[in-house]
Amino acid sequence: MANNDNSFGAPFEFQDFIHTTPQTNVAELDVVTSVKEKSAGSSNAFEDAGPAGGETGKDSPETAGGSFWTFDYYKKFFDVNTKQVSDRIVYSMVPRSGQNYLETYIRPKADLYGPFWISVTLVFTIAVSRNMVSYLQFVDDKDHHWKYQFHTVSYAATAIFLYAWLLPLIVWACMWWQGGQSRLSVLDILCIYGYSLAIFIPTSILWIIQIGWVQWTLLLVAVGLSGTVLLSSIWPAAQDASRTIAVPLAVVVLGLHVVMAACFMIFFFNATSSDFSPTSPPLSTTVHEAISSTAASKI
Amino acid sequence: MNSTTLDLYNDGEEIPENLEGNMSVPNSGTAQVEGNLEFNTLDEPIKTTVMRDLKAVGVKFQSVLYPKEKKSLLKEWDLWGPLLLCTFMAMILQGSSDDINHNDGGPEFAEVFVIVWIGAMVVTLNSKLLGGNISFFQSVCVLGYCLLPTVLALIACRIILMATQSTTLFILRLIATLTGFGWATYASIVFLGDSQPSDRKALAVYPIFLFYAFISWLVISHSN
Repeated sequence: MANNDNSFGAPFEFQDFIHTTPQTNVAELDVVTSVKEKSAGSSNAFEDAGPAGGETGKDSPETAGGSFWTFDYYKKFFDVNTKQVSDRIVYSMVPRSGQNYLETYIRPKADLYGPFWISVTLVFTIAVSRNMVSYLQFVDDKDHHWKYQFHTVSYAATAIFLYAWLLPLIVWACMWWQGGQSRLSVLDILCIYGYSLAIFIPTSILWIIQIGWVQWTLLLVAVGLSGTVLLSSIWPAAQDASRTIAVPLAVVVLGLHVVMAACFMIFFFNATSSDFSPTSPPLSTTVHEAISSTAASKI
Repeated sequence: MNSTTLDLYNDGEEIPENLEGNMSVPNSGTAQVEGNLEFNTLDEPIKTTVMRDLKAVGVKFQSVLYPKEKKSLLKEWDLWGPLLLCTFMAMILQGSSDDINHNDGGPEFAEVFVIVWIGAMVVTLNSKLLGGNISFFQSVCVLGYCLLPTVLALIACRIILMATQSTTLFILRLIATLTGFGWATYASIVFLGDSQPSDRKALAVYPIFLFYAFISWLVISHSN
C-alpha cells in the first residue's frame, strides 16, 4: 500500500505507517502470550487456592476440575505440599494414642501422590536390596558367577501394586456392600494403605542384614507400627458400616498386612523360618533356580 | 489476476481502471526465522539440515554439562538428544541371552526404552499434576537430555570393565556412577526447579531423583 496521497499538505509520516505493521506482529504475539499468561495465570490462581483450601476455593466441587476424562480432574488428588506429605509419612509409622491418623492427617484432603510414589520407591528399594543380598551370598562362591536380576523389579512391582491398589478397592467394596454408604471413600482407603507401606522402605534396606532374628524383629516392628495405624483408621468406619463384619474385616486386614510383609521377607530377602544361621542355603534362591531351569528346559 | 477493480465512493470522478502499487511490509524478510526455514529447508542439501540438527543437539548437550544457560533447552526443545542417549544406553545395558547362561539378568533392549520414556512421562505428569507450569514436551526434553551424565558414567564403567575386576575397580565404577547420578539430578533441578511453587518443590524433585537413581542403578549393575 504505497502511500502517495498528500492531499492534507502534511508529509505522511512513514514512521506511523511502519509502526502499524509491526503491531500486527505484536498483536499476534499478544494472542500467544495472552494464552500463555492465561494458563500461567490460571495455574497461579490454582496454586493460590491450593494451600488455602483446595477444591472449595473457587468453584463448587462438582464443576471444579472437570469431568473424569480431563486432566484437571486428577489435579485435586495431588493438592498437597511437602510438609503435609512428610507429616503423613511420619505419622503412618508412629501410632499416637488418642489420635486417629485418618482424621488428623488425611482428611479432608486425601492425596494420591504419597501412595503412588511410596509404592514406586518400595519397588526400587526391594529390587536394589534383593540384588545386594544375592551378591553378598555369592561373593565368596567362586564357582557361581553372580548375575544381577533385573526382573526382580517386575515381580516386586506386581506384588506391591496388587497389595497397595487392588486390596484397598476390595476392602472398600466389602464395606460398601455390607453397609450401604461407607464413611470411608475409595481415596481415603488408598491413601491409608499407601502411606502404611512407607515403613517398609527403610525396613527393606535393613533386611539386607542376613541374620535371622534381626529380620524377624524388623518384620514384627514394621508390621506392628504400621498395622496399628492402619487398623485404627479403618476400625471406626468398619464399625459404622456393619457390626457383623467389622471384626472379621479387621482381622483380615491385619492378617494380610502380616502375610504381605512376611512374603516379601521370605521371597526377596532369603529369610528362612527353620534355620537362623546365615550360612545355610537359602530357600528362595533354590526355588528360583528350579523354576528358571524348568522354564529354560521347556523353551 | 492482472487487474483489480476498486469501488470507491467518489461521485463523478474518473476512476482509474488499474490500481497498482507496491506493498512493502517491513520485517517480513528477516525477522520471522521460522517462516523462512520452512521455505528454505526444501532446497538445501541434506547435509546442511542434518548438521543443523546435530548442532542444536550438541548445543543442548553442552548446556546440560554446564547447566547455567536455560534458554536453549527450554525454549527450543527437541527429542533427538534423548532418543540418541536412550538408544545408546539400551544397546549397552541389555542383557545377553546365551543358551549357556539362559539370561544375563539385565534388562532387555525394549525394557530400557520403556523405563526411560515412560519414566520421563510419569515424572512430567507428576510435575504437572502438582501444579507446575512447564509444558509436557519441554519437561520430557529436559529429563532426556539430563541423561547425558549417566551415559558418560556408563561409558566410563564400560572402559573400566575391560580390565579384570577387583574391589578398587568396583569402587571406581561406583564413584563414576554416583558422579553421573549427582550431576544429572543437579542439572535437571536447575532446569526444572523454577517451574514449581516453593512449597512443593521437594515433591516435584523427588521423582526426578528416583528416576536418575534407578538408571544409575542399572549402570552400576551392568557388569559383563
